[in-house]
Amino acid sequence: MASSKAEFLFAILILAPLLGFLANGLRWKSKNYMLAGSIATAAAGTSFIAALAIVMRLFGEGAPKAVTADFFQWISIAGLEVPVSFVIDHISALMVLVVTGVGTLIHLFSIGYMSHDERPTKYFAYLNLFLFNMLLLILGENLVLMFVGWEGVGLCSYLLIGFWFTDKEKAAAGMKAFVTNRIGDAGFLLGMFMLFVTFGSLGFSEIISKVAGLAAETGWTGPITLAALFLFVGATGKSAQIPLYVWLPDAMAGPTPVSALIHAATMVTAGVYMIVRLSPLFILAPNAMMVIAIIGAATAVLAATIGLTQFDIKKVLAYSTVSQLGYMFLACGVGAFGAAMFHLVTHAFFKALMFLGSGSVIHGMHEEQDIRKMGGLAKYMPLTYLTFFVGWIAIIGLPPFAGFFSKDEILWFAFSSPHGSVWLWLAGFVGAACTAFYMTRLMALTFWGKPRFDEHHTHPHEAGPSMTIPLVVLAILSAVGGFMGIPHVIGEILPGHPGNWLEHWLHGFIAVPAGETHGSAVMEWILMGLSVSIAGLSAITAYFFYVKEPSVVERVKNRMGRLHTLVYNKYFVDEIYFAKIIDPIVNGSKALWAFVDVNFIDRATFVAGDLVKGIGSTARTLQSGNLQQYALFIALGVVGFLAFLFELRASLGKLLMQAFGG
Amino acid sequence: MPTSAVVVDSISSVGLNHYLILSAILFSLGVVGVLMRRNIIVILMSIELMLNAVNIAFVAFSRSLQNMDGQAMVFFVMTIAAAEAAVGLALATTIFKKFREVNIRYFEHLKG
Amino acid sequence: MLLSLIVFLPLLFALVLAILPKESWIRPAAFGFALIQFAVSLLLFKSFDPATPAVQLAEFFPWVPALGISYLLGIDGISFWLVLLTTFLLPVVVLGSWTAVDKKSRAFHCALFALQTAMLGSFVALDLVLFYVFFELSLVPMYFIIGIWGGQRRVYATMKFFLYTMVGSLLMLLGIIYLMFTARDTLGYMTANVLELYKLKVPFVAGEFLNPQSLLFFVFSLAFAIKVPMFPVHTWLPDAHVEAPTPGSVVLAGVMLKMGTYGFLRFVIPLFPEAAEHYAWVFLFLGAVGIVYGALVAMVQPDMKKLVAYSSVSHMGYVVLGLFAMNSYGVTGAIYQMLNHGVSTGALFLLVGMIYERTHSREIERYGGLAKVMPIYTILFFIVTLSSIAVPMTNGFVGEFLILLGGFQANKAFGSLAVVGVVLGAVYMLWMFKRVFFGEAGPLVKDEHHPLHDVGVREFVVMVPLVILIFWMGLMPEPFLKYTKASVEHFVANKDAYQLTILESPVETGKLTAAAVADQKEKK
Repeated sequence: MASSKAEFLFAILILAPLLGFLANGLRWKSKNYMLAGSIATAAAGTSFIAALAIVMRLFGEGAPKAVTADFFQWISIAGLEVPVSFVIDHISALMVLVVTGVGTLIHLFSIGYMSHDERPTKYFAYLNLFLFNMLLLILGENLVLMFVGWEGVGLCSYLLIGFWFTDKEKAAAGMKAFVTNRIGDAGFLLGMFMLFVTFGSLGFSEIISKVAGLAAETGWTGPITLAALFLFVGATGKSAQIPLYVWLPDAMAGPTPVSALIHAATMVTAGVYMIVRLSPLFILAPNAMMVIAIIGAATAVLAATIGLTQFDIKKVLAYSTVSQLGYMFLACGVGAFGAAMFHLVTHAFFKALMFLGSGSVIHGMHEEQDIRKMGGLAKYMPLTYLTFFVGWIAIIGLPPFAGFFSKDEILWFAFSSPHGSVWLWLAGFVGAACTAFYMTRLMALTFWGKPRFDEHHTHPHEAGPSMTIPLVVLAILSAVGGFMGIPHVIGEILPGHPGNWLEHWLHGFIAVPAGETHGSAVMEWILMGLSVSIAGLSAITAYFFYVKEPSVVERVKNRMGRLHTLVYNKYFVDEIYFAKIIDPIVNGSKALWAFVDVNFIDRATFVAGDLVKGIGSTARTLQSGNLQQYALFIALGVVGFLAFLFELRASLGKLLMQAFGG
Repeated sequence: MPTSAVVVDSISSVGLNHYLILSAILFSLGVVGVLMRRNIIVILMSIELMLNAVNIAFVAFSRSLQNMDGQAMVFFVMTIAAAEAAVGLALATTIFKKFREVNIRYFEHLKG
Repeated sequence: MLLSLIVFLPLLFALVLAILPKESWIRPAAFGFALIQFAVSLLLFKSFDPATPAVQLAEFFPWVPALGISYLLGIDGISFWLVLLTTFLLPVVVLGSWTAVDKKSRAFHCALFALQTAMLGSFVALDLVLFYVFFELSLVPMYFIIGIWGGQRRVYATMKFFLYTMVGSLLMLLGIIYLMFTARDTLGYMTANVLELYKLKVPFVAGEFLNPQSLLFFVFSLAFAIKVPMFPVHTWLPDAHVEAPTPGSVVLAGVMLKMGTYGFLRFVIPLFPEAAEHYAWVFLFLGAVGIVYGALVAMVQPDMKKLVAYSSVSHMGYVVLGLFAMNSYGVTGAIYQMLNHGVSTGALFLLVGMIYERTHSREIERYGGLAKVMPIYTILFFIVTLSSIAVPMTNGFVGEFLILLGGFQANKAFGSLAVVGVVLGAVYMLWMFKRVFFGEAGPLVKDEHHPLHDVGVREFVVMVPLVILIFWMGLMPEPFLKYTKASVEHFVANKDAYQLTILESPVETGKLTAAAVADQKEKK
């Protein structure tokens, strides 16, 4: 179906950011942020338009199910075919629009944000390079191409986190991100190998057509289950799930728009996207699905609790991101791939919005990130406040904003799906309560109450249009984005009975779990009511705590004591990783070097050498230089030889006698 | 003449073995001389002794076997011995001139 | 005659350099000669047919007919790129060592060119004795390069390097002689022609260790394993690298190590197929352990060059893993990885050499914040780092991916172990990168008496071809793989009974050897 025009559009879509990267990369010494930003934003915008043009083809009667474009054969060896070919189907269409759309907005935002930086060209070059890699990841028609993008975005993330590399901490954060991601990538590789060994192909469509009709695997060691688990390890790395989530909070060392783009809206959702992409495979591995659901739920709760105690505005958002990603994996784990995709999209809107909002705040507060030193910013930065407010409602899940629909769908499936259970629902429910609390706390400490900074020295101010326009657009999307997936129970009572558009859109592209769903419409209403009221309740509590009675907070903190210390220090996970894994490896390596290389292998060769030397020095005493001694040896040799000869003759004679004689 | 008869008799009774024993004794003396004496000149003389011991054996065998090959060989040996003596003595005198020393133990420069 | 020309042209150039009247002409002349021999080697593209696995451009002269030793050269998909890699690296090395080697430059360049002949010869020799001659000959110039132009402990390193490799290759010589006698007993005439020896069925008993084929297999393997170097006979390498001058390191890592892996592919596996199959797990294991071990030890090195040296151990572990996976992916990946390693580790050594020339220190701890002072150098170093840790779109990825895929297919456990190396590779390279380039300026970087200047034009020109290759081989591997495909397919398909024929050969070498032997007998 791929017409040459599709290839042309795909080429524009993918190459525009690459050209942007090259254009900015080649003039890396320039400090003209406006030009650099314009090039980069234009590149991203071009991509978005091209993506839109391609996606439009999927609409209408008789539209193709997917638009593909083949370029060239990248690797082709004995059955391993890796063509450079791209596909936009109903899944990647959603993703590509989010990535290029939100990406363009963030590029635009960056122009204002990075206006004071020393090396804006480099920044925008990296940002474009990221977009290019992200597009490879999304659009690649096979796992290898996805992996190329997968590693590529990790690389850009590394570069952008460590953008201010003169700061040791930031450079370290970049490295931590890359290495943690690499652990995931190793899992991804293994998953890929497992699939190739099992199915003989790495193309998505081929794998999916080959698994179609297979029975679900039981047990843990089947090839599909193992492949699914390995791929999930990859997803935990990229999408910051337990146990590999630790890099994401540190990744906040990068510029804030980067956090919005890479560490909230796009890259970190790649794991979810990959699982949704391969949902027909994952659905065949119920045990792997169970693991995914449990890890997702656990991450959602754990990260949310840590979020309750943090004071760095970006760290709060970072843990919130980890937690929300947990929801997406929970959805994947219970087989609600559509809900996962839905939440991915809405989350991209409101989390990008909130990160950009926080960027605006940090920018306005002159690089201050500690929310204890903020407060009352609503009156200084009204537009930022207003948009952030929208994001806040969206994330805590109050109807009718985006987050409500997507999160509720996940919670409902966690309860009702054949793979779901009341416990998974409960975890999601607790997470939702925490989310509402810490987000309200963030709102309260940042925008409400009295200013806690020196108003004479610091003059918070609203930024220029390049930063506010993206905020407004994202705020609108956060407000209305949820309408693409209105649940049936709500649709029925609304005028015109709108259906669940998203569900319809993804139908046939994602797997649906087999088995009986439990729960009824009444149940759905009840659960919905419960989650909305708990969100509202905990938001009100937080408001009361942080705006009305700040003293309560201290009291609670003191009452909690050790629990608070534990949570505030992020459960000491980093410390445990260092003490139990990283340090032993480093020390062990030093020991390997010192003992195996130097003291064992080298010593062994020295011993062998000494042995030869010893024999040699013993032998050399024979050569005394005393001529007469040599002569003696010669004489003795002759005598010995003669003796031997005669003896031999004698015995030979005897033998002959025996043989022939009488 | 009984005396001469006795002499002739005793001479004719000197058989091959006597020559060989003489040769062996002379050879052994030569070997011992080469091995024991320190003076280069003496060692050279001892070598001459050994060569001449061999010559005796050759001649004795030649006569005993009625074959002239052995005697021809003796001429070779004598020629070689002369040459050897010339070269050896030349070396010995050169060494003596250079080091003022004829003790063989002094020359150990080639030890390993 | 093309192959002979390629092999002996450098030797001729070495002689010319030796009698060149003026000292100041030597470097330009050497660079020119290096370019010429590279250009000559490019003629291979014209005459080499990638579609066939057969040996091409063969040349045959009887050398010692009575023993069946002949001057037999030939090239196929396995050796094609290695020859080009060798000729490609020489101009890079000559230009790269313009200022690094400042004494006895005449002798140095003579040694470098002579080494070139030895290395090229061992890649195209198809007679075991001839191969052995070239293989050993390569030690001599390298011995002098490290021993004369090396660092503080150069004598120790040289001895270690020489003795290690010598021990292995002497045992191999015994093996070669044994094989020649086996040929006499089974084929009826003595021969060292590998194409003939492939036909031998050296007796093999699966259950026990002491049988001719297994012993020969291990004897040959030891020689090549030391050269590669494989864990646990790798310890000569870090010392040799640390003491060697930059160009020596580049050639050592870039080409000489490949003589080991090439030996496995050309001689060990095809000559002893049953033993190779039976003991493949040993090498898969050692390969995987080497990957992880090399990476772990590289991680804790305080010296940049030693770190790169240990990373070589890790990277060559991949190659061994791929070779003994004995499937198309593994073997292709291994060949590709040999080239990658030549390019990227060569580039790393050049880069480390550049900074060493400026500060005379390679201690990681004394650097820091270099990115701010030397931005272009940083970019170059970063690109090479990416290649070394096999980030997609660089050459390293293609090789590593294929090797790991092949390794996983051959043995899931060791394949999975090797994947750990992917993580550790990133750790040691990026950790070094972070400590050297990021953070605050270290004592060497902020030293006011010696302000660091960024890479000069010459240094940039040296790096450009390498960087281009890194991306070219990463983005478009097919043109490169095209030349190896037929040979690898042939190798994998016939690994139980490997045979090679000579393409359009004017003479049947086997018959010729036999005829020469018969002739010899008649004379007697």
